[in-house]
Formats: sequence, structure tokens, C-alpha cells
Amino acid sequence: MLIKSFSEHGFHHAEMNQDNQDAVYYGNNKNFTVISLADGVSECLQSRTGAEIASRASTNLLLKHGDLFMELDNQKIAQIVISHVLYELRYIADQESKKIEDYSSTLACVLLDKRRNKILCMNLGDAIILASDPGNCKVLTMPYDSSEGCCVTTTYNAYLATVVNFFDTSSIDSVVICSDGAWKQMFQKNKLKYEVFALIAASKYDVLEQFLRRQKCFDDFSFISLDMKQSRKGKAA
Amino acid sequence: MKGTITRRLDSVIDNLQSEFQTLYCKGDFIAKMEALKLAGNQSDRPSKLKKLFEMFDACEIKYERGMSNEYYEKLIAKSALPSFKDLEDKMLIKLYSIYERYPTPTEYMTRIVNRLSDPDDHWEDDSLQLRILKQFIKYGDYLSSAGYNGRKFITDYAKDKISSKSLDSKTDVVRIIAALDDEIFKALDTASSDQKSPEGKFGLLKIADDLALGKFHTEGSTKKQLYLFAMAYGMTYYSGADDTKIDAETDIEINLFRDYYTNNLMRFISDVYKGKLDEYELDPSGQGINYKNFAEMIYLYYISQKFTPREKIAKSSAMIEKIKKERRQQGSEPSIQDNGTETYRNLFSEEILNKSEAEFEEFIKQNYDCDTFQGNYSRGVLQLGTTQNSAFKVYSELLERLRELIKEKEKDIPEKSRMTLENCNYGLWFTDVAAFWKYGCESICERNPEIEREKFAEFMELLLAMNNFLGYAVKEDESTKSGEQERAELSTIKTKTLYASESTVTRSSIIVAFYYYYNALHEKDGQDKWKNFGELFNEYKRVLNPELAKAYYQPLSGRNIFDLLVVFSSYAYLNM
Repeated sequence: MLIKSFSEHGFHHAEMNQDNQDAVYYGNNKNFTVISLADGVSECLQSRTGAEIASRASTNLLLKHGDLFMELDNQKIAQIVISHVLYELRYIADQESKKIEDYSSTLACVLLDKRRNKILCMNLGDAIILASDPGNCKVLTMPYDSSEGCCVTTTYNAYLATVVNFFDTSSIDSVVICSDGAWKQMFQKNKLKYEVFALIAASKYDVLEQFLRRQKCFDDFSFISLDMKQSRKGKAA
Repeated sequence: MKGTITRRLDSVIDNLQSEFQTLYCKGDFIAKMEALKLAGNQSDRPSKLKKLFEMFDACEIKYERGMSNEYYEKLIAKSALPSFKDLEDKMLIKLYSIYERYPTPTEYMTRIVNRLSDPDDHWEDDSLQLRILKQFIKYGDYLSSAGYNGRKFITDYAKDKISSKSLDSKTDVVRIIAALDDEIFKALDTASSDQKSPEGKFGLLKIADDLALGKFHTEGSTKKQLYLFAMAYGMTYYSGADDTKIDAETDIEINLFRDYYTNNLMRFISDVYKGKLDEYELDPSGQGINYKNFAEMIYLYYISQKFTPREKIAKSSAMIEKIKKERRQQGSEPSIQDNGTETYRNLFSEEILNKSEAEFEEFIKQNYDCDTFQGNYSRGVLQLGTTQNSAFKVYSELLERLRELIKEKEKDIPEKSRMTLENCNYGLWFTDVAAFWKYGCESICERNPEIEREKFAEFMELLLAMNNFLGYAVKEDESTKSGEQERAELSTIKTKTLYASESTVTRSSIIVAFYYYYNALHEKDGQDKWKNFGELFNEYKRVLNPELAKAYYQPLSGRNIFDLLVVFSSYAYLNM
């Protein structure tokens, strides 16, 4: 199982001397692997911390109760994960005497069930989850239309705006979660740029990082990928 | 980085209803309390208690957890909670504050144009009409290939402005555009309707003006304008291909069909009310792209191809004309049968978009009704395939369920006094429309001086219009008729939206039919009295969205003020 993460300051935050507000996290055990990415809301004072908590809390929860999540219906999954994240956020907000809204972020996670050969994708907000299907690249979950505001962890009933889907991994080589700062460089309007398509189709995430580094990104740009080819090869051997 | 924030729920799709979380009246608490008592010590007591605590929190009432029912009952009794009547004021003001934030069609169009314009053109200080006109000239070659006239008038206008005799409409585009100003649109003030038609002298000016003001017209001409606009501004179509995503900034369905529809539905309703409907079409259907229409499929095909905007406009227009002419020459051969929207939606896949132009043309001829001359009757290309069989089926089934329900509920009532579909006409329930009709909105404005009177009056006008759309309001004028006569007369006034046909059914007719059905179903069961507005909105979404999806209409959305007002009215109906 090869996990690659990459997160870089956009020039806007760099110029403002602000932290990178994207956070990536992953966890792995015998039966499950989880990757997650959260993007803090810039206007919120503690968004970096909020993003870290959201990605860590969701990863740990999904990893610990992977079997349960594989059985639940989509809305219930979103409800449980989001309420757990809110619980963690509320705890820290109370400790720090701050408002929970100060810790707002988006959240996207992928849970891989190695035994069932299934993945669960969960996406709240404007990240995108893509998959490499040998020779092809496909969108697994789309970003939320953020033109009039984006649903985030502290949005009322955020679970209703959370997309949850299951996919069979037999024809998927790798998955990658990209923050909006990253995917905006990867798409030309509604279509993946050809060179990015080729990179993801071949699961070349090192080269994707180089590609992103060459772009001038206003926003923080991050991705976290999970390459499943390795473990498949191992199993075959 | 996100530019907007979290709990500003009013700006987030489908979360608008949370604005009403705190609109609890005393009755809501009493109903919740009843539910709690009924639960006794059963397993659902914790969830009922949780709900009650949330309501206390929302109203900032201090309470202790783990207490007896009597404690909470006393707490409710001594708390200064509003009555439903007080709430009515609050509701209206809250709804008004939301209405105030809805963009006008012009504001909305400005946003799209700002997003999609090339900043290097530097037209941002021009009026919206002028920007759209310039875009059509520069990127769409005056829309000449799509049958629009105006090239000569515009060139002459520019010549006059810069006192030059030698301007060529093709080679001097930059100079012509630089010479244009808002005065050019004054020509429309005195133009005849022929001159304002697409082929008329001012055809191009008119389309720019219509789009900027968000006007919509009959016989599919608005749809054609929207597709041309989409091509001129490089918008995209999401076909579901693996490597594509819906691009919210450029997607034609989101920007021009979903949001445009939402804006224009409200304008339509107001215009019906004001009697200004002569040149406008009836009730925007809410269907968006019509996958049964061959011309729309050609537009989508070219929107998805890698051509310049000018080429897209020219090629799509040429293919539509070619197919139309060829079909006309075939004479009275039987038309291709309408196989239902679902078939056509599935047919129009990514694979089709990857066909060559010649293959695609053949595909269209073989699968779509392209016959604009059926019998002696000639139709516009965008009028083909407009029957909405799936939507009508959903609508008819809903009405049938409503009829059955009424029959069942009224079986013990004397026939003369029974409610029927004909007298499902009570309209909006959350405000006394008749009183507003009679007394105006002065008193509410006096009680709330922060309200801008003119804007509030406009909002009330919208409510009155919606009330007419949903039913009928009694005018409280002096009457010479007896009460019995008036009741009899009122009961025969039908709600127009409950009598739609295959060709006139719309998303709003389905919503209105559902509104009467839902109210009739739940008015006495008490279950919905235990729901707050947010819960009721979600319940509407849960039950109604699958029906709307079957009809290929957009789902219920908090972003659409029509939807919001209908559900709000239901909330009031079930609680009053």
C-alpha cells in the first residue's frame, strides 16, 4: 500500500503570512487503510487546527470501525462521521474558549477495505476524489458547487450535504483526494487536462506533485493518494 | 481557502430552512411535550427529549437535563414564547429578509458574465447589455450564422460615433466594439416588433437586452438565446464522462437552466399577477435541457466540441437548418415516435459526443423527431419533443392520490359539503393574504420601522401573486351575496395548476399538487405538528424529490424561494 501526500502553501496565504490550511492524514491496519484531506476555511481563526482535527478524527474513526462503516447506509455514515468530528471540534473549542465555527473545514475521506476489495468515499465540501482505472482516470466524487458558499464541518446538518459512495476496487489502481486549490490546476473547465489525466491514469503521483509545483496556485494545494497496485502485486505473488 | 463562511446557512443550497430553526411558537413546544409524554419511558424518549432541548437552546431558554415531564411543562408555561400569530409577523419578516437577498435576474446574469468574460477585453465597466452585445459581436460574429440581424445597424452606429466611413464589420471588429455605448439600445425604445425579431434590424440588440434583463419568451426563443449565450461564453456541458466533473462556474445546466429557471419562475409569478404576460411564456417548466429535442442535442454536441465559439454557433445553426430542410423535403413520412425522456437521456451519452460531425448528424436523423411541418402546422425547432409524458404521469398519479384521499376523508360528510379537488384552492396559509389585499402592509411596516417599505410591498405583491398561483384569495370587498352563495362560488374556482395537461405540466404544478396532497394527508394526524420547519422541509424533500426526479425536474431546494414559500405554507397549514 503506497500512500503519498503533498501539501503546499498557495501564494495568497504565503503573502499574508498565514499557515497552509489544508491538512492530510492517513492510517493503516491489517484490514483497512484510510486517507483523508481537510481544507480549513480561511476566514475562520482556527481553521488550520480544525482541518487537522477533522482529518485525524475521521481517519481514526473510519479505521477503528471499518467493518461497521462497510455495512451502514450512506446517510448514516455521513451522520456518524460528521458528528464525531463535531464532537472533537467542540471539545477543543471548549478547551480553548473559542467558537466551534472557528474550526470549520471541508472533509474528504477514503476508506479501503482490503478484504472486501471495496472503497468508501466520503466528501463534504469542494475537494474531489479521483481514481486510476488502468489507462483511464475517473471522478469518484465531485466537488460541491461552492459558488455561493460551501458546506463545511460546522454547517447545520452538514451530513445532508455529504456525498458517500462505495466502489469496487477490482478495477481501480489508485485513488487520490485533491483539495480545490489542487484540482483547479488540474482541470480545464470541466475536463481533466490531458497531461494530468495521463499521470493519474498511470498512478504517477510523484510527477503529479512536480506538475502542481510548476503551477502558480493562489490557494493552498494538496493531495493524498493511495496506490493499491502494490498490495495487489504482493497478494498475487 | 473558502471565500464564504460556514454557518451563514442562508447562502448555502438547501440549508436555507435552518433560518427558521428558531421560529418556534408556544404551540411547537406544547406539541413536542405531547410527543414526549406519549413516548413515556419507551426507547424513543431520549430522542424526543433531545429535540426538546434543541428547541430550548434555539430559544435561549435555560433548563436542566434529566428532569420530569412536569418540570418541562412548567418551564414551557412560564416562558415568554410567541403565539402563532406573533410568529406570523416574524415569519413574514424573516421570509422578506431572505427574499431581499435573492439576486435579481440582472444581478445574476452579471455574475455569470463577470465569471466568464475574458479580463483582457476590459469591458467590465460597461453595462451588462453592452457587454453581452460585445461578446456576441467579437466571439459570435454578430450571431449572423444563427439568424440574427444587426450587423449593419451596429456598424453604421460605430461609423457615426467615430465619424469614419470605412469600417468593415468583419475586419474592424475591435474599432466597432470600442465605439459602442449604451445609447445604441435606445433604438429598441421605438422599434416595432418586427424590427426586434431575430431577423429584424435590431435582432442582436434585442437578444443582448433580453438576456441582461432575464426576459423569457415563447416558442423556444429563450432557449435558443441561452444556448447561443452558452457558446459565446464558452460554457460547458457535463456528459458524465469519467474524466469530467460538473464545473459550477461554466456548467450550462447549473447556470442557465437551474438558476435561470429559479429566477424567472418568481418573475413569471409576479408578472401573471400584474397582468403583464402578453409576450412571456407560461410557467417555466423547470425541466432544463429537453433531451427529446433534436436542436437542443445539436447545441449540446457543439458546446462539448473543441471549436471556437464562432464555429460552434455557425456549425450548430447550420446542422439544425440542414436537418430541418431535409426533413421537410421528405414530406409526410411518419415522424419518429416519442420514446419518452428517459430513453433519450440514456441515448445521449459521452459516446455520442465523441462521434464525428457526420456520424452525429446521422444519429440525430435516425433517432429524433425533426419534423417541424406536421400537417399544415409549422413549429419552431425548439418546440419539438416538448410533451412531458413522464412528468404528466407523476402529476396525474399525485392528483389521483389526492382525489382518493379526499374521498376517503370526506366519506362521512354530506355530499354537498364535501371537499373536492375543485375546492383545493386555499392557496398560501401562513399569512392572511386577504387582509393584506384589503389593508396593505402598512401595519407590519409600522411595527418594524427597519423594513424598507417599497421593497416590502414588492415582496407582499409576490406573496399575493403566489397565493393566486397556488389557489384563490377571497377579496374582502362589500358583497351583495349571501355567505352560502359566496361559499358555493368559491368552491367552483379551480386552482389552475391542478388542471395541467401533458404539454402544460410543470415542476411547479407537481409541487402545488403535492402541497395539497401533503396537507390533506397530515392535517389531522398530528405527526407533522411535532415537526419544526426544518424537519418539515426535509420531509418534503424526502417524499417529493423522488417524484420530481421521476419527472426529470430539479429537486426541491432552499435556494428556490417558490419551494421555500410552499413548504412554509404547509408548515403553517399543519400548525394553525
